[in-house]
Amino acid sequence: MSETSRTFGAIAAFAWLGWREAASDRFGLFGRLLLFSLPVLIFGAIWRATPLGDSGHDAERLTWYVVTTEAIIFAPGWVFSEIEEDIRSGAIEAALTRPLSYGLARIAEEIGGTLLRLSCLGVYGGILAWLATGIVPISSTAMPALALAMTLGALLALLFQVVIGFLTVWLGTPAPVYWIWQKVIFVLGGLFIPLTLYPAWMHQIGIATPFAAILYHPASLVLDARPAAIAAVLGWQLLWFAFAAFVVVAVATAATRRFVREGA
Amino acid sequence: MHQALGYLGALLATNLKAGFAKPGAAVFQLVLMCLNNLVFFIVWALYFDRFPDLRGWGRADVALLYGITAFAFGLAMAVGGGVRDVARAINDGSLDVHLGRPRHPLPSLLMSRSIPSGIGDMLSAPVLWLWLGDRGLADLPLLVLLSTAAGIVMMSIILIAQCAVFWWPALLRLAEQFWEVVIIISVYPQHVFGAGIRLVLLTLLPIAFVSQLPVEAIREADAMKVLAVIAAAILYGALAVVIFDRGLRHYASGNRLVVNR
Repeated sequence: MSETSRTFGAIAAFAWLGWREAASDRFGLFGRLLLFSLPVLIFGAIWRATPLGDSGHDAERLTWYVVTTEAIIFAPGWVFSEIEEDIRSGAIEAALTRPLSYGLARIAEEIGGTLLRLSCLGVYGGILAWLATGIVPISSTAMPALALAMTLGALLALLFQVVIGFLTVWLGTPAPVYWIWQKVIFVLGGLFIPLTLYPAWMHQIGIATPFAAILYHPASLVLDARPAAIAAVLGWQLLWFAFAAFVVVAVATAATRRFVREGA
Repeated sequence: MHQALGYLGALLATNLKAGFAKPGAAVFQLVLMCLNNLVFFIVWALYFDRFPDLRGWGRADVALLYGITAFAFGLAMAVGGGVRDVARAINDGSLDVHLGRPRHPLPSLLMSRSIPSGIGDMLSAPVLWLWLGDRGLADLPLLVLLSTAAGIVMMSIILIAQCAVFWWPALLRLAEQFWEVVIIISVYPQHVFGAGIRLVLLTLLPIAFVSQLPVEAIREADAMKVLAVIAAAILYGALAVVIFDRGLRHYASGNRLVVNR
């Protein structure tokens, strides 16, 4: 067995472990679905109460938009805090002795958990949105593209959380950075309001950031799922995915070096 | 009474001191939390820029609501941050440490942790009220009074949910996540909901007393609503203590050996 296939085998094993761990945490999953329902119901009610007039949008599609963005934001969980805990407790030391790097193993495990949660949130959210609006705004042929875009969005969010988690080595606690990152995602990613409803200058800024690739781009497919729109969405996401992967490798390598040299 | 207040004061001072053991990190958290709240409000600024009216509410009303929730949550976390750990303490037996003391265990349990970022939440409130909420300095005493009452209601709701673990230990994770439900609902206007949901938010899940009712009390200068919020703080505070005491009767010690200095 070659080195590469052994590495991929280990990554797959960690991903499967993450999937099973997330699946066995039934109460945690139930709690997440309950929490996820709240913003969906709240924003659904807010959009129904909003005089949308000639905005070019309707409350039903905007409810589906919010379901999509919320499913993406809820799927990755609190990865940064788990990395923080590993670093602060010293658990990372044992992981550093393994042949597979700590960062890669942690990301693989979290991908497994994220995919399970996203699947549950996607199905549950779809049913919730259908019950709330009575429509399904996307054709069955565009569904796979929406699912892929949502997955890429959730994995992008996961990668940025991993970067924030590694900041523990320098900051002691990365939680404040996470709060700011989360709120910037809400604003520039268009968690509740599609970027097309922002003032033009704000729209320009938002669309040029990775935050749009996490939330707005995938969720925009419930507003417009023509083939050209799908291609543009996936193109932007893959571009930012490559960038995020580069940042993760750079930060994880620097953090591990510093941890080995100076400790947490 | 004087002795009890002295005890509570000493607990608070000790935990704030522990929370600020690393002053640089604590101030960093505090400033970023304050900033965090203001960044989140940009979403509402953008919303009202496009749609100036949400069933009679404008940007200033939502700023008022967000400020009240921030102050209430910040106060609860800075003074009684341990409220989020009650279910865990019941489950793993660390409640024993508080039961061995000569006083009621609840104050020391709630005040066992002070979260410095809570002060950042509290500091962001005046900015939201005075700058974005178009309120004057004369409104501050009432806003602080209502937000303090809202903080007590919030803490009581979280504590009641955490106490569920006394009877149903399997609910640990749900009980721990429940505070997020309270936050998620209280930071958004609730007048957009139908009558059924509003009734639930005034009774079973009294989150309306945390943010919606205080804002209505100030918007409408309604003394009855001010009294209702204060009464809710007393009522739900007392209910939380009663439920905690009842739960204690079901508590099986974890026989935990801990040396507290």
